[in-house]
Amino acid sequence: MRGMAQRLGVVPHRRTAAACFSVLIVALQSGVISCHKNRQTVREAVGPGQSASSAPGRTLLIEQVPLDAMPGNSAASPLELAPPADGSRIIRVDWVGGGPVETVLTRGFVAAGHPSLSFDARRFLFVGRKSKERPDAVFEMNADGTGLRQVIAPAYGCDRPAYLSTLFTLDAEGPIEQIGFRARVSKAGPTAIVRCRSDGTEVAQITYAPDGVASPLLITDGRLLFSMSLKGAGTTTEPNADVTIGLVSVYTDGTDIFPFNDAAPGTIRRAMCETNDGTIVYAESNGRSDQRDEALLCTARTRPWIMHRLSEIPPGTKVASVSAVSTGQLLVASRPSNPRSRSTFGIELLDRATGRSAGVVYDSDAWHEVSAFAIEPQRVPAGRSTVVGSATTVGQLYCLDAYEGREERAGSNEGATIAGVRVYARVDDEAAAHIDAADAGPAAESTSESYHRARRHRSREVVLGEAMLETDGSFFIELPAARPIRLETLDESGRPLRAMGTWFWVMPMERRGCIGCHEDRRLTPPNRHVLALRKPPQRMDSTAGELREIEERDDQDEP
Amino acid sequence: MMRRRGMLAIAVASIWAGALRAEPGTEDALPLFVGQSVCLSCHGRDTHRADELSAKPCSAELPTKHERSYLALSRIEAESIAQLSGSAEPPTATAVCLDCHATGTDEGRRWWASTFRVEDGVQCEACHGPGGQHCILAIRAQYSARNGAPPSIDGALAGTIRRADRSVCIPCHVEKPSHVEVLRNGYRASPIDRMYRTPVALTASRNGNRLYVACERANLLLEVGVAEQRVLREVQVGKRPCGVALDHDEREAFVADRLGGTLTVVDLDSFRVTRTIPIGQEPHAVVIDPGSDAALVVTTGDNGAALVDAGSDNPARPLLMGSGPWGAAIDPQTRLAYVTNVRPTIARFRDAVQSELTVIDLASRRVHTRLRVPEANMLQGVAWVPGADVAVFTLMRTKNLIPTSRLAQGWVITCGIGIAWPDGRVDQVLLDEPGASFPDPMDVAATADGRWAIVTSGGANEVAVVDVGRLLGWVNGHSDEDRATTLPNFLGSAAEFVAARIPVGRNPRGVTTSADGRRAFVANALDDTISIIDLNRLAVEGVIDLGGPTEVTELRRGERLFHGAGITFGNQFSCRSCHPDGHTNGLAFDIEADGIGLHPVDNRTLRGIFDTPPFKWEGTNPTMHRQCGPRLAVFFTRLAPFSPDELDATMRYICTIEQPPNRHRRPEGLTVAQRRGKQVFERTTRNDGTPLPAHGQCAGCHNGAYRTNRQRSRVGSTMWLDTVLDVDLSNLYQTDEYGELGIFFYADVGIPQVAFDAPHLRHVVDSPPYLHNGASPTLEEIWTRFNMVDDHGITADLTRQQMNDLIAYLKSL
Repeated sequence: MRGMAQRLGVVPHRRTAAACFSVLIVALQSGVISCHKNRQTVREAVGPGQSASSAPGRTLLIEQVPLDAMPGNSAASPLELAPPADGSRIIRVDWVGGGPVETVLTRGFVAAGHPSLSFDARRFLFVGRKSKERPDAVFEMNADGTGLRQVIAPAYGCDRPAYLSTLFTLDAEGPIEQIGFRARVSKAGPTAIVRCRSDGTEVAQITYAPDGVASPLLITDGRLLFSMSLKGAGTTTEPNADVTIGLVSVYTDGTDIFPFNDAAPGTIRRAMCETNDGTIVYAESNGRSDQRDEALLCTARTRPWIMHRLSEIPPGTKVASVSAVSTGQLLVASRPSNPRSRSTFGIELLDRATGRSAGVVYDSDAWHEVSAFAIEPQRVPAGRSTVVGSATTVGQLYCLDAYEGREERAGSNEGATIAGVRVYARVDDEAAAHIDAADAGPAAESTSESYHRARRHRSREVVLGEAMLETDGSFFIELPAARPIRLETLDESGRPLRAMGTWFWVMPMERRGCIGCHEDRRLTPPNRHVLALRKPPQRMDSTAGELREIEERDDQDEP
Repeated sequence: MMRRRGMLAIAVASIWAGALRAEPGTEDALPLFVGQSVCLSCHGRDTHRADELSAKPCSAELPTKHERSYLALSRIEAESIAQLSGSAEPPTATAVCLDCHATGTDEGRRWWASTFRVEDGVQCEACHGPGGQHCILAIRAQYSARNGAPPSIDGALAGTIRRADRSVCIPCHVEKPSHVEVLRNGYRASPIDRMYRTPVALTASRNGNRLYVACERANLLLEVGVAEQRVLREVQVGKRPCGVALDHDEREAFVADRLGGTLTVVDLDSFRVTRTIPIGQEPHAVVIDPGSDAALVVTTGDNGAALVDAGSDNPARPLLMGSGPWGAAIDPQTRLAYVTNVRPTIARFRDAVQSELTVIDLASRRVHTRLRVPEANMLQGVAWVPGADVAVFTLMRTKNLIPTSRLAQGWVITCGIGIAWPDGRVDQVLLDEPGASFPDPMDVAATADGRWAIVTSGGANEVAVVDVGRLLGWVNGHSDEDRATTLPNFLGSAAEFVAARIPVGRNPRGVTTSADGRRAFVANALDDTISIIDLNRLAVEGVIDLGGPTEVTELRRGERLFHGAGITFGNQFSCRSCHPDGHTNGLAFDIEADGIGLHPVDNRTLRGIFDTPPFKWEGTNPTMHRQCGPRLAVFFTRLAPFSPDELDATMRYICTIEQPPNRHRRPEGLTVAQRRGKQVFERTTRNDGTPLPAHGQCAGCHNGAYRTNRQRSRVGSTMWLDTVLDVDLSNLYQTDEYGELGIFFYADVGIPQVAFDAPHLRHVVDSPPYLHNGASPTLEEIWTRFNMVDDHGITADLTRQQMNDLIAYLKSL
């Protein structure tokens, strides 16, 4: 019987999960968290003869990683790709007849991980590797393990696939179903979020952070949250540097990049999930990357400047992932700091409001469980209609008042008057990058140090041009799209006053507006017809003149 | 011959009689319509005789379809067509229907001779113009001929009749989407659509046991039992009731009927209508003066506020409010009434608008103060907060001067409330939060203890419960500068004083509170319910079904979509946010589609637009589906577009948005000035007799039932910002070199003018400002300031009198 089950991929219930499943069942069914519900309750809830697939919320999709492949390697930058380790797999856990039944869904893969459920919970995406020689690819599978298909196999690796909301353009016949994933878009390039149609066609890059991105999360209002280096732009190429990696949002067409909330210097934030009441859960770690102490924080999607900590996460707990359950609770993949309680990563149920643990839901001694999702429909995030197109390679940026939020207006900053804005861009030198990467060799390339070394040689900062400021503080520029950009205000002598610490970009045909250089994100624009918009934009075009290469800079400023 | 002479004689007698009714000296220039029987008495094929006048026989086959065109208005399909034309009237009383299905209806019955029968449909005079003058000359000629004199007036006779060519026919014979939809696609107005209640305003009895609810769609006043949770009684009132108040003895209810133009008085004992008082144009709100028991009625359509004394059937002379008075509330101590105005005061081109909160001293019956609310528009609901001694009113802050290129951070529209202090100071704070707007704040009510103010959001289907003490503390805690500049634009305020945002039914509009302050009642217009809010628990306590149809028709679904803000990122705005009552907010926007900073375009009304394609000022959208489907999604709402079904439903609703009655048009027809203005409008020669080219005639572009040829034309109205220019525009208003807003620049430099869609002119008086960019605050200024090149019709030779007449006629459309 056991042999038959194994051939079918169904592994009978074993080990510690038996002690934990009742918590999940009760919590998912009733929304009431309790570690002490008895098995009788569970039996009644499940019911004899009821198939697991017909009872959404009773089934979990779990990602398992071999014990020798330490998940969440703290030495690696979260901005780098982290493909599933060899031996990783995705299982489905049904609670049938009072016990969990595991089904391995990714048989035939050398490695499979990063599952992401579709909004209707019928399918999921994951990253898989069929053999050691073949690249990582994004696959899709039905939640019952059938219907496997490869969606796309990016040339330079990928991870973190996710379903995105629909995208619509004037040329489209209707909204386009699309997915997104993180990928390296060139051999030695930084990571970026890439979207494509659900059939793998029409691939488009939507982030251009020069140091890469981490932890993409689509939230219900249609924005994509992700992490990127917020401060010290151009200085995060050193491995293990004391960097600030904060949360940023864009729409799924790559437009309107905007900080989601403020991050304290030296912290690293990773978006985890959104609960059905609009709470964003994210992890924050402090200190140097090899000494990270991770905490879970919550913030309302609509009030991101107010956050609170899920207080009962013990210090030293390592959190791999968090997902939301329709009851409002959280499935947390974590490993406690105390190895006596649990030595491996397991799945714990947490009350979102109190931060209190409702107990371990699933934990295997032989595996690390690094992510878990309740197979249940989720609210479909808002779609996006976009102006972004391929008809042009430029975008525009207009600023209503560069003085907004600045002391210069009051003359307190040595009476400085902003006379103009200098526009910098990151440009790639692909040839150099290829040589560098080849010298380093494929094995060394995967290490953080060689990766950063390659990138340091590959990427240059250039001045695209300088724009004049109007007397009302406004300016309007046209600049190359899809490229990391930062700005620097200048005084009348052309000397820098302040520099943006954060990179941003505009997408082709995007007309990006900002209130001012230091706007509060809670501020709305004053209704003013600014002078800069009464004339054509000033072109900041690298092809118009010689690119001026800039030495690595170390000036810092707030974003 | 005798019959012919008889008809002519009757016609002439009628004309003379008509002339007696007209103002002295006008009859010669303003001929009456005599009807086709008179025309055919000389020009009919069988009645024609080669007599002394050599009257030419009509070439048209008779009877023709034209004769039956009026009868077509009685067909069942006509009602559906009228509905799709935005008419609240039957087809036989709908101007746009009559314009092509009858003759002389634009002028009106005052200008019909006794021989004229409107039932004869499209008659000879529809194409050839009114024949009254022609008849007089013909009679004179007959007498002259009979007396042996030579027929020397042939030329004069011919000159009184318009030569009809194909250009006269075309405006009525173009394909009209409304007709295609009904006659080809089989659309029929659903009777269910008339049965929806659509509660929009309500008031509670002093003991809190009864609610009186004005139901806009069903034209009903309902009496609702709170304890019984059902409708107890109902009574038919005037057309589209939208305001209700009780007198202090609670013996009568006063209902403002928006499209009826009346104040209906209902006896609460018998629950019957006792009086119907004509009050003005679009009465919108009614409140009772505690000092005199007089009813104060604000009339949106004519910018007025009228007081009706208790027991009187005649309103006192109305006071002039701001633009579009909408809501009213009274401070019982001082007897000051605070009146909101939904439309902003028209601002200089590309300047920020401001709105007016008008304060009336009810004791003296004069305007006490006109409070300015900078950068705000759509002031609607207003409430007096007892104890706090402030008036709180809803507002929107529409960012029409900034390109609509993104939605985050309240980039297009923000919504909130204003506070009017006793000293005349006005503060503004937002109810929006980042990513969670409070769209279309419609009404506000305060509890008797002054603790709470409850605000409805028609777009988000929520109410916000504002802690008034915290609100005032929050505002007072800021510097004057912050109150003036930061707070009105700050999305972080609501977290400080909004105690709860409570989901209610669809499209909540009116709100009132119980006298004990324990409950608020919310009228959910688009699901025919009342939500009862428990103000202790800050939660919905119950929902009262007002008994509308349970079936959701396509039109109703469209109405919900139109009023819902779920179509935009963060619920920032709905269609209604810019098109209140399907009309316009009177602002010119910088739309991203045609380049930012350039091409500001005036927001156009949605009333009666179905038959006026193409759309947009540039006329580049051939259908409303294109305009409101992909384009709306990509450039405005930026979320997923409407599904095809949703789009169909929304279009259906938009087509049926009703036009209010035209206050400039008398029931009997055009005034003499208006009639003269029509002659100017249709003139084909200058005052010196030289012919006008077609593009120099008003009717050259503005013809047909809607007064549009549905074509784009260059009319010399290209101004600064309409094209990319290498010109210093830091001062847009400098007129020395290039005239008003550079109007001469294009002519001087030879840069091609921009072509614009000829807008339809129905109810044009209601939608200032004018021109494609809203540069002209009034109709007059279209020509006196912005037609210096004389391309927007040739008008340079018009006398002041003629211009006044022309304006008078345009207002009658």
